[in-house]
Amino acid sequence: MTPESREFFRKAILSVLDTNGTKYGLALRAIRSFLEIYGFRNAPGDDILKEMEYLCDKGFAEGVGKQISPENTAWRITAAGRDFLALNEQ
Amino acid sequence: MSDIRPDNLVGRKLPAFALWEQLQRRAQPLGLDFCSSFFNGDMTYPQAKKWLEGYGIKISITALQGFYNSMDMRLRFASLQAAQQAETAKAELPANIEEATRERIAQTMFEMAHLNLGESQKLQLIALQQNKEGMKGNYELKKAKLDLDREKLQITACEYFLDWFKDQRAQDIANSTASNAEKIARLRQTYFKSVDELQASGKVQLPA
Repeated sequence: MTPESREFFRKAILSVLDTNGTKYGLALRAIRSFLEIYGFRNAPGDDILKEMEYLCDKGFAEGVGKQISPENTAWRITAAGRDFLALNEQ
Repeated sequence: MSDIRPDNLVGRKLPAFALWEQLQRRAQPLGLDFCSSFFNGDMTYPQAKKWLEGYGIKISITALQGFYNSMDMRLRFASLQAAQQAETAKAELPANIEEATRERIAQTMFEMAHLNLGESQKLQLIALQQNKEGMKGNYELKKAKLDLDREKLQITACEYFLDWFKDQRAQDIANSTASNAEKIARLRQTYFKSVDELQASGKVQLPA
């Protein structure tokens, strides 16, 4: 993945998370499935997990619940993530 | 904060998003009711426009079309529906289950419902798109047929003209020094001979 495509990929993940306006989180399967509408069909789960870690470190997303294994985690976008998307969509 | 008129905003995605925001600002069932009917195709655009105006939301048909065709908006709707289902399921759980477990069950219910509802919206939109492309294909086919018909007609007209131009009898008459009236009479005799013969036979009476 080139740095540009990685950036698109991260933004696509954030966009998927942004479509969920509830207190619940989106699991890996849902993110993977809906990434398709942003042009990333059959994105590898490992790639998504890696980028989720990055987005969480940046404070743009957060894990929901108290699962230990990363495959069972569900994520939600944070206010910082929404702001980032809003600024980058203009 | 006063409401933003959705189609007054600049930007490709904004009108649909502004409508979503307005629906969210009102009592929750309103947004869900509207999206449920609208995305299921139970309302036409003018009906939806009128329905929203009844709640003080002004929007153009174009913005409504954008909203209808937005997968983003459909996913937002799916997540709200899924959350509602998860909350209902959680409320029906036995009271003796501890809160953390109830939350985990609700989260799982949400994930399942969201995936199903979201996928269903995705498929609906894909079907709409394919339908639209099919209609576009039909239109292209009809247009190509019309173009072909027009071309055929032009070729036929040119062929007639060439036939006429090549016709020595017509040229002789046209180039002669006779008066116009005489030329017309002779051309008429040449090309409408059969009609004159028919009239002379008395089988038909041409109008005077």
